[in-house]
Amino acid sequence: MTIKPSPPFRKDGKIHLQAELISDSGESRTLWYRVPESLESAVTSHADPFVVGALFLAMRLGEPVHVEGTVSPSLLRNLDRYMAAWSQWHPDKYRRVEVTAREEKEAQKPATDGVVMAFSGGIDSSYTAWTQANRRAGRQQVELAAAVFVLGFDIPLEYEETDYASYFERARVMTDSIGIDLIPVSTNFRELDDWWEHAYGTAIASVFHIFKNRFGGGMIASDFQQYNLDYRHVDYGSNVFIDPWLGGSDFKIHHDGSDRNRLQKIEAVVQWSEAMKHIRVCWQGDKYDRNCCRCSKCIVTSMRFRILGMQVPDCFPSPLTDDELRSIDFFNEAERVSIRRLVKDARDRGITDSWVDALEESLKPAAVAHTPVEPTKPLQDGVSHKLTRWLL
Amino acid sequence: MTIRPFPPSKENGSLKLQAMLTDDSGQTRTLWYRVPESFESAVTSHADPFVVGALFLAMRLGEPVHVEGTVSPSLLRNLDRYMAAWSQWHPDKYRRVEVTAREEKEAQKPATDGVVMAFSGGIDSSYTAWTQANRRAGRQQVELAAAVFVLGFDIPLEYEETDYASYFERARVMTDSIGIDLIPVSTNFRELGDWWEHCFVAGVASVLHLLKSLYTGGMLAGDSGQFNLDTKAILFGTSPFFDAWLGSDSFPIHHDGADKSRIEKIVSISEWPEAMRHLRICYTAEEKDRNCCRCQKCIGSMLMFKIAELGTPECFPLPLSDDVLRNIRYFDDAQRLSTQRIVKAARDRGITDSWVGALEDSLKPRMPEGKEDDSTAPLDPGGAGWNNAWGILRKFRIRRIHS
Repeated sequence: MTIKPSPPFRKDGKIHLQAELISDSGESRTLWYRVPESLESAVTSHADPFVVGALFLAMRLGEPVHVEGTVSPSLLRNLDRYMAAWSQWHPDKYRRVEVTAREEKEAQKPATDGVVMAFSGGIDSSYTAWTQANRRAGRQQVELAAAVFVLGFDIPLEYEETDYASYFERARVMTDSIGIDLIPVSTNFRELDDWWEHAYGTAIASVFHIFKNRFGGGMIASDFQQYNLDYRHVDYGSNVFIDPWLGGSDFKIHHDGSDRNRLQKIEAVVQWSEAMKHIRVCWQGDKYDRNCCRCSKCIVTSMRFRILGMQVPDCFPSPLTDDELRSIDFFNEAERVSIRRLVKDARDRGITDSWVDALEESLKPAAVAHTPVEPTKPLQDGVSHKLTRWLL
Repeated sequence: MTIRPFPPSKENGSLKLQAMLTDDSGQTRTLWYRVPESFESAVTSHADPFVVGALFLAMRLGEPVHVEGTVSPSLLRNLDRYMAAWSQWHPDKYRRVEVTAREEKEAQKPATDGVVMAFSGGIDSSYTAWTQANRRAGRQQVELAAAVFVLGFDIPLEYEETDYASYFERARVMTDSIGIDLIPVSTNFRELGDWWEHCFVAGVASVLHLLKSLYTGGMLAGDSGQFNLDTKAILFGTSPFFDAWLGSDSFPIHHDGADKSRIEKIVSISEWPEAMRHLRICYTAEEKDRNCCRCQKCIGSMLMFKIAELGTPECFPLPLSDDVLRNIRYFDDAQRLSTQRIVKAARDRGITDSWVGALEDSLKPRMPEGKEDDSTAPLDPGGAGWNNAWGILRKFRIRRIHS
């Protein structure tokens, strides 16, 4: 595969960065990113964002990659390790491929030490933003300078003209309140059609690399896995062990928050009043700018507040009744597992409220007979991915 | 706990670096390292080696640590992460503790780019030394400059006056042949009483940190195929996932060789004649200049050569029979797992020789331990009886540590 970056150009107040990815069979794909024009000086001239962004495609194709541009050698070294791991985990899907470049040169470090993070407005990124901005991260403290908010990851590109603005606005209220710049970025990364659960760490890191002229590193907020070494958890697109391999010595990728579970993270962010109004955990509702309060993610998150003895915050405007909890429809085993954990957490804390019983009842075999309702929005992933996820 | 490093002292041609570790109850322990006096300029004035060396003790005690010396802040950051991981994996054994220092300052990087590795003369470290020295490590290539050979880890300190010289000499023949300096280092690290299977990499990393005034990083030869997420294997102290957290920005710790299986490593080093003569797999042989060929580790390695169709190299002087294989004794699941993998590797390659069946037989359940009367059997150093005794001791130690 050849990665051919084009010179950046301006259009509609944005800098457009793109590269053509040409596979050995001659098939061509375009990978692009758009950032506000005001950040032009922050944008790297290195091809690093494209190399990281196209990594899973290269591993899937199993073809050596040549980059028609400049790439950081320390990044290539780390990506080689990253590929070695994935190709051992999924030899049927991915291969470790050789990556060469027209020029190998470390990117020049910016004068300041600021770090940019990915901010979705969910629990994990809110926890990281809040603790880092308030300098409560102990030895894991960085100089958090900005956050990116990405259109094209969990929010589909076609929402640009509809919900995206209000979604961005809610997140901006949060980051403004802690003095962090929020940068809107859009990308067609998902059109490369990689398995999202595997590739999303590279997706986020590729966006960070765009800004390496201004920031000294990128930070990914940890998911639920923590330091869990269970195969099913490590083999996931982002975790504390492999994320640093998406960076180089000139631009480090940090993974933050693995030392806290979701309850502990919620406990930390309850002090953040803007978060209590604007946290957004849901991707299944009709609107991306609010929580549907009906999907398992909304239910689990809102009930965690109850476990902590708190009111369900404003960001969940219509919490479920016990009857509604009792008749949750599970789309897959993962949802069932997360509710089971929630019940266990509640029981472990001696909570005997009726909502815990209601949730327990929802897990009983009879509940399996429920016909799953249609998702409230079109499938975002490839159908085969969705089907496999459902089957698993 | 307080870590109080002493100024280095010279004795008998060695430079001794030591620190007193005083826990909150007042109990003191001494942690020391000795390096040849000729390496004086290579030795760091930072307290980093002691912080890394005392890490598992600190986690076991669960006490905040204060270091009466200078420590690299990026090392403290990484160690904090390392502790967070271990304290999640073993909350009953380890705690993540705060570490402070009289001064936090990054160690200055030496002018030239050279990495020091730990070399035991076994398959993993030989593979790393051979591929790195011959610049065959691809993107994982470093400027390998030297290796340390440590007395006090798998070779007990009391061997210093007896067998150590012979062990060191065998290793030196190997490293000399590829142009790598071999530095003898000794330490009483194991006297701290940490669980060896958990802490040994911290021990090795602490030794590498000693030499950070001369070298820009340290390299650990990883076990084979460790990107494979077998939790049991990962929690065996070393992993490409977290070994780097024992290093710092000024002295990164590299983990090498996780992308290769044991057989691939063996095939690679089979081109190294000195390795074929001097590889050191075990420590139980009576003749210290060879491998016993009877312990599970020796047998496993010999069979790997067989699977790779490389014959039996000179470093294994005794032949294997099916009877020997059938009677292997296993002292823990790790050994059993290792044999299962050998059987699988052989079967995967379509090998149907009688030795594979014999090896499979060895995995079948036997009389429970203790029910079998072998009390009249003489101890046979290098044989099954010797292994049995070692296993009993090992189990006793494990129980003691757990209690």
